[in-house]
Amino acid sequence: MTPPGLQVRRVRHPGARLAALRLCVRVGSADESPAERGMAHLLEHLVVRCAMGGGRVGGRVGGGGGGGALVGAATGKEHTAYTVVVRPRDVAEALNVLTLAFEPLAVSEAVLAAELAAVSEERAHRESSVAWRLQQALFAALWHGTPYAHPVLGDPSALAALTPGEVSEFHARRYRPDLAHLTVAGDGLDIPARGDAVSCGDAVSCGDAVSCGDAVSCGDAVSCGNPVGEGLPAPAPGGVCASEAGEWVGFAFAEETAEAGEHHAAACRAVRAATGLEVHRLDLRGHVCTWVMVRARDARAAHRAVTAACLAARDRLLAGDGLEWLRSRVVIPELRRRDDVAVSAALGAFPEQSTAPPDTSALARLIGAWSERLAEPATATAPSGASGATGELSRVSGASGAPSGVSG
Amino acid sequence: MMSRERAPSGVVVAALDPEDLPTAVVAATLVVPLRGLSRSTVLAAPLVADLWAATVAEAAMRAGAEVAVSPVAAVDFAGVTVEAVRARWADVHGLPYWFSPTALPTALPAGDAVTRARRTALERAERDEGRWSDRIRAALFGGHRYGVGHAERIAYLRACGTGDLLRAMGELAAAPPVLAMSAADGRTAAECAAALSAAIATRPSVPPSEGGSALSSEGVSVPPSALLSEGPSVSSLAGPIVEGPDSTAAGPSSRGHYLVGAKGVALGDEEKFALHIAWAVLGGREGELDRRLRHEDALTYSLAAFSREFAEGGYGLIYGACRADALEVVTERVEETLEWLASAGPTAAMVDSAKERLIIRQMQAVQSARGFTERMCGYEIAGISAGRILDYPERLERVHAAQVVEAASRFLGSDVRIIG
Repeated sequence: MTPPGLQVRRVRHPGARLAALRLCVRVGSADESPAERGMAHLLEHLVVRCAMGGGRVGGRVGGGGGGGALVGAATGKEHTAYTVVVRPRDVAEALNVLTLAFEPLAVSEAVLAAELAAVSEERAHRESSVAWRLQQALFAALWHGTPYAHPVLGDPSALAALTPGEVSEFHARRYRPDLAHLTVAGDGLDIPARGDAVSCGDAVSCGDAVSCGDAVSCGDAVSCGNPVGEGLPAPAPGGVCASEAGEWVGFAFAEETAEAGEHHAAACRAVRAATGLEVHRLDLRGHVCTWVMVRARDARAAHRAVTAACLAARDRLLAGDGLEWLRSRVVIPELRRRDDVAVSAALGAFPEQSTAPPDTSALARLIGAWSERLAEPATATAPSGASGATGELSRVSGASGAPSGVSG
Repeated sequence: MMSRERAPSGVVVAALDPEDLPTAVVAATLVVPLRGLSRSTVLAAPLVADLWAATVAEAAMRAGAEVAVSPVAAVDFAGVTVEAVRARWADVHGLPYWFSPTALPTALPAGDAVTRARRTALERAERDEGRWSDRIRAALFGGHRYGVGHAERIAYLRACGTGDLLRAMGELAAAPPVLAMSAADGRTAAECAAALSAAIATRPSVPPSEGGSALSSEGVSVPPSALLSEGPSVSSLAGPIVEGPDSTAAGPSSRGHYLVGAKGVALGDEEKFALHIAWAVLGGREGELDRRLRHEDALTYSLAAFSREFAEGGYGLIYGACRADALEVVTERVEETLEWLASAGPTAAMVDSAKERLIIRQMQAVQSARGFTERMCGYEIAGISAGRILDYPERLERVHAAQVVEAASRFLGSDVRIIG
């Protein structure tokens, strides 16, 4: 049974031998006060450990399965998501385990200390990554002075001061069925539900998903759709620039979703396919954040490298065989990714194959505009540095999480 | 239903019925086995795969097919995968015809294709997270291709010249390929087998290899190993290998890395199933190591335990990253855990839990057509019918806890050797 108030979305994934369930709770690091920074992510750990009993699905007393499927979780700036992939026979039990998230949370001092230690280790691990540090720097600059600026991992001193009572109170305030939704993806699933409390709609139409017009987060940032509510505080105008370790430079900007356009996600993938440059995207309440990170000696060299990559991708799209190239190098890999039932649950949709050709001209225009907007050291919040070096286009590898997506 | 053609030429074609895997994208993978090939060819294989992919993509485009082409490079084989949207599923059946001319020794792509392929192959090799298993594999497999390390591979990929590549392509082209398709009927499979057999029959002879040490241009000399031609003689090491404690002092928060390696089994070995469960009991978020090392005391911030099976052998390893000052405790606890697994052993519930995790993981791996066809090739090259992929859950379910303990005692027992 699903708790009253919880919206349930069912996605049919034809032929799937597995089912994926994703519970998205509308709480993230942007909901934290300065004294609570890191609370949402800490709660993610504690909910799996305490409320969900470790997040194991199947194999419990009376359970029919062999057991062993595990709930995975990730915290973002606006959402916390819990996902589990199971065999179809275990869907009902998986649903029961996930909705334990809404039960009152009892946390002992010892358990709180153990998870704080785990979070501390996680921080050490992530901070050893140049990509992680650079992404944090970009977001801190882009959202300076807003609740979106601080890292999801939070503030160590704030975390250390938290008490079990404060954690439980935050949980009670934020973990409510009416502030969450559940997506179940699979084939031929029968979701147990209380009819008066559950919205079991058909699969969300992906529309022109195949033609790359959908909104898909690049990377592993947590995004569960833009909630209706207050708008986001204004980002830094004109974009920002940051550097890390003396050899990596990043550029970021944010714009309203309507301004970013329906082709933004496809454009990210096209640039990567054409040049290897990873253009990241994160949806935040009515805005789309866009950022890139390259190895370069300074901001100007990075600017040249990013501009060249964008223009190369634009030209590739505008070539005579641009449409065929787009279909084979961008559309097919994306469709393959969506053959994963967990991706269907994350996107709330399974792609219907569209025969409409992707609009290469629109993609090319958008990418061309990035070349002017993403990397302009003169107007960006640029670090000090010399100019005149040659930029080397190279992705930052090993990023284990985007700035607003922390897998717990 | 899976159809399978084995031609007298040695060519193998395996195909799933189009309705058996209703994915949005269909795939075909064509690979050649690396068994018995010279070390220089094994080292060059990932780059050759990139070159093949570039040429196949051009050929497909000329043929009017809309396919994505990717290189495939594994320890047992190299080749390419092509994918198409389901509405154009027959497009991938052109792979044998696009591939055959490119496998000829004289078919090095024109222009800067080699430069681009080299860069791509190098980037892939440098990003490969498997590099930290290098020392374990080197100790277990010695001169066998399974012992090839990333440093050696990268050095060769950087330095090999046109002549080296042509020789490698010639050697690879002489081997009968394996083709796996996620959506094809029996007749198509037979046609593809005939086309590939005809292509092999018309290929010129392979240029002779330059002696036993093929890396002369690098100044790197690796003695030829009997294992390269004689198969799975990787049993010289009886038990696990423990590397460490090894720590890196990088500033104030110095980090330690702990590595334990053990001999494993080949892909077709019946003991694979029990051993998989043993490793699954150890590894993962609900594994015994996580409970003893991370959950109770947050001793490690990164922990992995898994096994790998190839055509001719396998290995397993435990990797832990922790504070340097915690290495001693981590070492003790890992050893205690291995002892426990090989003696008292896991409960039936733990075994059931591990089975379920493995089954789900396997099903996830073959959700995409490409995941399925590349796994089909691995099975066929190991001498196992690709149809066995579908049997994996059932065979895993049959394993009892006692078999897990037995497998653990044989492969993860107390006869530990410490290196480094």
